[in-house]
Amino acid sequence: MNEADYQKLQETGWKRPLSPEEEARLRAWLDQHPEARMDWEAELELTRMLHQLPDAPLSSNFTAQVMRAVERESAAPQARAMRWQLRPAWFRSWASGAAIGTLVAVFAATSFWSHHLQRKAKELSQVANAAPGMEIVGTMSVLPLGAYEDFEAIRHLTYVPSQEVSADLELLAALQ
Amino acid sequence: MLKPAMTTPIDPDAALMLRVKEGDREAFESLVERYKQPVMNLVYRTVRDVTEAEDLAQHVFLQVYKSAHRYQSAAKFSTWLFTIARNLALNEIRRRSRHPADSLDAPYPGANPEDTPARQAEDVRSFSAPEVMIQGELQEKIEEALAELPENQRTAIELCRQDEASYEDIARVLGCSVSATKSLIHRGRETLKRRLKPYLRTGLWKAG
Repeated sequence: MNEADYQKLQETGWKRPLSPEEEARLRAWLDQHPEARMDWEAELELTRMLHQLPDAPLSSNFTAQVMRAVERESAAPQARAMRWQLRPAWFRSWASGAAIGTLVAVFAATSFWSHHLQRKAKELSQVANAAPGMEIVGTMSVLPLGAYEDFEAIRHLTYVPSQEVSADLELLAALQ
Repeated sequence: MLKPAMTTPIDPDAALMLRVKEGDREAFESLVERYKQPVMNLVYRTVRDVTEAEDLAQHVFLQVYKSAHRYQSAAKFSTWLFTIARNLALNEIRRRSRHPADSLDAPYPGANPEDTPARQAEDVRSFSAPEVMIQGELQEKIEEALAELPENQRTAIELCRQDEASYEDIARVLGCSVSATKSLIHRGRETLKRRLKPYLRTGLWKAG
């Protein structure tokens, strides 16, 4: 027997008393390792004390209380159905109508939005076909980078302020 | 000659639980009777309050009943039960740490007020006066030492006291390996031996 076997016997002893064969093996080990004897005896005593710990106090009608709670739990769905039936007929028909109306409204809104998105996508694809190199990113039309080279120049040319301005001679000269 | 079919013996508690799934209240009552004390012991040593522990223990069984449709017979019933008990007890500890001002006498959330009727007192074992003192003091010391252990070590040691729980069962409740479980028990016991050294009698185990 070795240290690992001794450890296994300890673990067995935590759960149940050792068999005569196990005890014999343990005695042989402890004869060769007397320094382990005190620890083994402390283990035995601790196991005895733990097993003798009293149970936590518990009401004698504990099971009855649990079964009452279970009965209430089982009756709850039936009680809810009963409460619904006890409501006035006008309330029940109103509530049902409101629920149906809400469903119809949600369906209509969803259909309209879906149609709107499809129409938007169709328009964007038409624009994309008309402008080669253009990408559709989400709902935006994005031109290739090169297309923006003359952006500032074009912006200056097309910008019409409220006040009259003279021609930008410097810019014209640069473009020439 | 044909050999009889080899069948794996079903856990008797699992068989009861399968009947509970079919709505058999008597089967459920049998399970409550069998496990009410082990569940109460586990919960009490976690929350350290008798009233709260009993309320929690009731909720453990109510949870078992409500979750019966999810129970699978391949799982050992006691493992499943103790896992629920441990989780509810830990939830209570966490709830207390978030709301320390809450009264310990307040009913458990969701509890029905009708369910707080007078608890019938348990029987008290009678000892002679000196025995009561020694026994009481020793038990108090053990309980104090247990209470000071980390929760996982304490739970492992408490479950180890249950005759029906194997190391594999305890490991499943704790959510760790068997070797980790044994290590937890070993460390917990070493701590207990140190704390209870003045109370441990040695020389009882006869040599040779």
